[in-house]
Amino acid sequence: MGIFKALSTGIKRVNKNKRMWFFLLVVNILVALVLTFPLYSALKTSIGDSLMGERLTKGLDYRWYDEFLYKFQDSDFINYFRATRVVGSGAFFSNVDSLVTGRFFQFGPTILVLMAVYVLLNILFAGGILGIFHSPEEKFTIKGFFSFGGTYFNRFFRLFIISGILYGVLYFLFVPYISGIINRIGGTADSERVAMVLGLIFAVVMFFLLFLVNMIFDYAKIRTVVGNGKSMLKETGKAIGFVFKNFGRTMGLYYFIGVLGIIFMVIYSVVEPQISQVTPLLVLLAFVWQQVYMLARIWVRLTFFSSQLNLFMGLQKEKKVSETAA
Amino acid sequence: MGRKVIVGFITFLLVSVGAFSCLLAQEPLSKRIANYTMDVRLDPEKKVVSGSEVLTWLNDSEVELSELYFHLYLNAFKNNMTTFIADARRVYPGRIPRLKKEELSYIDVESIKIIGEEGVEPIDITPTIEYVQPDDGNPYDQTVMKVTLPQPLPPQQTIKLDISFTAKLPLGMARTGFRDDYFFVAQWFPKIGVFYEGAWNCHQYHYTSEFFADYGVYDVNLTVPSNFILGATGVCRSKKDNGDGTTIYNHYQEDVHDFTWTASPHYLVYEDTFTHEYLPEVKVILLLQPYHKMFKDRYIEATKHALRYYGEWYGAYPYPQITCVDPAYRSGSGGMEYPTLFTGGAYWLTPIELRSPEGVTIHECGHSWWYGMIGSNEFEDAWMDEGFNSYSDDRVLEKAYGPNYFSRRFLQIFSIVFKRFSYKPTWGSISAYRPYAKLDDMSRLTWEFMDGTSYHINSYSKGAITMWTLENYLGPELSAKVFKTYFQRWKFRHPRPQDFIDVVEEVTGQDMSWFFDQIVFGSNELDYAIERISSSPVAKRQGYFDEEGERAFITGEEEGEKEEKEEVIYESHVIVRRQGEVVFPVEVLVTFENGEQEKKVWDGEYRWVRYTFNKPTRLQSAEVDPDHKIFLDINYTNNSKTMNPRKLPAYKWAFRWMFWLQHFLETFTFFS
Ligand SMILES: [Zn+2]
Repeated sequence: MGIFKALSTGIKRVNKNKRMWFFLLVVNILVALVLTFPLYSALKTSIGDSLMGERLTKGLDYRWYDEFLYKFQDSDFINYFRATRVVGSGAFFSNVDSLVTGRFFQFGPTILVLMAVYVLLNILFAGGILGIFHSPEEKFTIKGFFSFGGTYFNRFFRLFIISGILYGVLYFLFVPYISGIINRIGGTADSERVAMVLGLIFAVVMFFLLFLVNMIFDYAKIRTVVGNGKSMLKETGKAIGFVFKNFGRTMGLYYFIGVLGIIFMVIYSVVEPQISQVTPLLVLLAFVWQQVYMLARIWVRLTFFSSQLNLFMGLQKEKKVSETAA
Repeated sequence: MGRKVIVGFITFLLVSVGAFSCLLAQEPLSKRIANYTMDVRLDPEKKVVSGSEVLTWLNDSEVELSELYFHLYLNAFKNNMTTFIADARRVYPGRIPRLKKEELSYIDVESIKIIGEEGVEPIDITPTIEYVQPDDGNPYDQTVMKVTLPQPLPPQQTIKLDISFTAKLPLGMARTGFRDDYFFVAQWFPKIGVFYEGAWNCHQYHYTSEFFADYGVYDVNLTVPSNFILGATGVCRSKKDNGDGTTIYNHYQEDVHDFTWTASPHYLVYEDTFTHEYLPEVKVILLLQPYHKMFKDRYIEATKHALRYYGEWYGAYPYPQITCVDPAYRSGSGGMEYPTLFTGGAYWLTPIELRSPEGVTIHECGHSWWYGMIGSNEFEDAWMDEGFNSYSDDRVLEKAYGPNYFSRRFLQIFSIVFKRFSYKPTWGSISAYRPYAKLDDMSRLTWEFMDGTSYHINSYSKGAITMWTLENYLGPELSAKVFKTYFQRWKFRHPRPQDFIDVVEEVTGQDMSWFFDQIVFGSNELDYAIERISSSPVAKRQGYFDEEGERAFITGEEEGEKEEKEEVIYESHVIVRRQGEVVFPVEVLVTFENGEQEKKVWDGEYRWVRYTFNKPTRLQSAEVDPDHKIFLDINYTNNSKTMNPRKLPAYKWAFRWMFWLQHFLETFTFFS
């Protein structure tokens, strides 16, 4: 099976399950609202009945922005309201940056707890997603979704722990080790360029390793669902074997979908500044556009699952055929 | 010959003799008190500069002096007990400079002799050398040296000293030193203190202090390896190959108060010329690190902007040349000013919107005015050069480059500039100042601030926003006159805060002590706010009223019918409140629904003031300091209130933040 076949059937299956996208988006919104409400009320308190409201309708007023951050400096999540996060591609860059460098570990406890809850929820959902995609009807129902989720939660949680060990090695051993080397070389280098180029190489390697681990555990989940595997260590081992045996195709598919994600981000970032957000309608429009982008992100995530499931099953079938032929 | 011809000839003679004598007797720019003739050699292997200086020093005081004080700045990095290092531990805990043997520095004065008239044997006063610690009595600190003269030096007499010294340079530390074969040689020679206000002003070298010295003439012979490129204060008058692998350069400059030089085999050298409609031409030399070639034009352009605007605003740059040095990576010598030479600092892949190296270039070049020509005492009145200069460089940045933008360095490599969010360059200073508003007076001695950040914020940030507030208070024309007058009057001298205040008062004709007492010599917060606004129809009469000798009971209904056709009068109240301790006159702009506006001026003295208006229109909004003139106001959001608050922005910004959070959550499903 080729990657484009896997991808196109994968996309078809994802597109058949639009209710699943919306379900995941609603959960995403609900979880985000947990902190957005207090942030909103902080904003409201800060702006109050000041004329600053007029200026903030038109754009960002630095003086207010600065006073707002100062006022709420002790809050462990309101001070994540930064200009470079809340506009255009800012969200994308800041989040990818914290993913690669592991700096998200330094985030405020409130945000980390929320993130943990969301990750746990999505471990549950991963079972639902794969269960439905693998079921003969391939059709989303809340009941089916949660029932699959429940079925696989325990096993997927174990996979999460195993993958967590690998990510931990990357963040807590690899990153400090490499940073140490970069600092050492950079410290004796003739120019800042050396440290920057090394930093770039490090980022590329780190991206590669993170994506590799991520992909392996995607296949470990897929194997578990397809073969109803019980031992997660064994599934992990077999997933590693599978990924490396079909390295070109697994990588090709993974990165191809990744590029789709980047394209969506670029489209979002180009359109977003065009919405001036000076009237309620325009603010609403911007909100809708943001949610459209979030849907696209969710779509990308589902496409990863769906296409990789296809690739796995296709390649397995080919293997069986060739085995029987032999 | 007719009479006309004779008169014409005589006139011609008189004029030309006059012009010639004018040329001959051209007044020096400064009172040349400390003049140095030096002959020194760099040993790049040992990291040592050695040689001698002949100091010709004028006792410009009214008293006899039997002691002379010298700065030996390089002794600050001699060991871990010096005042500089002890200060560093105190003001920036956790940022203690390295202390490896080969990285430390010191300066030894080998001999010091008084040179008399020709034929008279010099008098050796080396045995009288004594290290003194006027600031803290720290016995380990040897950054100030005192010598005793065999006979007191009478007022207005000159003394000539021949001083031999050896200076071991540090590994790039606090603006001076080496890094491999890059040398930046600053604060490196025995330098006499300033005798003024009836005493020696020769402070020890502190972690949070800069410098102070008298003006004079520097005539310096520098011997460096021939493959090195040299940059130095002043103009290169001669260059001679010694034939032994070294070259001797002569640099000369009049009317400066320091001499600094740099040498490295790697510099790229560029020359350009600053020209202007009426300001004199200046040769701009750029010494660039080879890996910063792409910053060439940006450095030169920024230097020219500084020469232009400072020149137009305050007075011409009087020297023929200026040298901009791009410092070597990790050399610790970036972002520093010296007479006719300064260091910038650039970082690969920095887009122009980040104003780097533009910001630092303009700032350091601008110090030619506030530090170079206005010789403030940086040990004691740091805000007078850093504050003035931060204010001025903000103005240049804004004029030449426009606003600042928010930006973020992604993966610490690529910068992303968010051009939708711009702000005034100075506003960063307000942000820094706010949390420190009440910590220290800006007028403190530099090493007596609570910590390094407080020194920095009070000298730079508060200094800058104080000058902005003053400019806005006085208005652009008066303010321009104040700064120009101050510069012109005090150039090549050592003004004190009171001298500036005197100029402000003279030019404006106002008593401005209230401003400086509170802001420079005090540390209170300035915060004015609109406390409350209200507007409602004037109440109708109700109750017993005596009318034409009779008591009448009025219900209010009777008049109501009459008045229905008449316009409704609204009674509106605005309460303005002083929340901070600083008293400052403020303007209050009151806007009514029909578009009418009224501006009130409040002296700001009492805790609050109430304004009442009776108008046929409702009040719409009130704002104190509507033109945002008072940069020192620590809270602008509370400066206004409106009857129709906008709900939209809270939603708008909450949605934007929510999107970041949604995206954040979705990004980290990576782990699920
Ligand atoms: Zn400065």
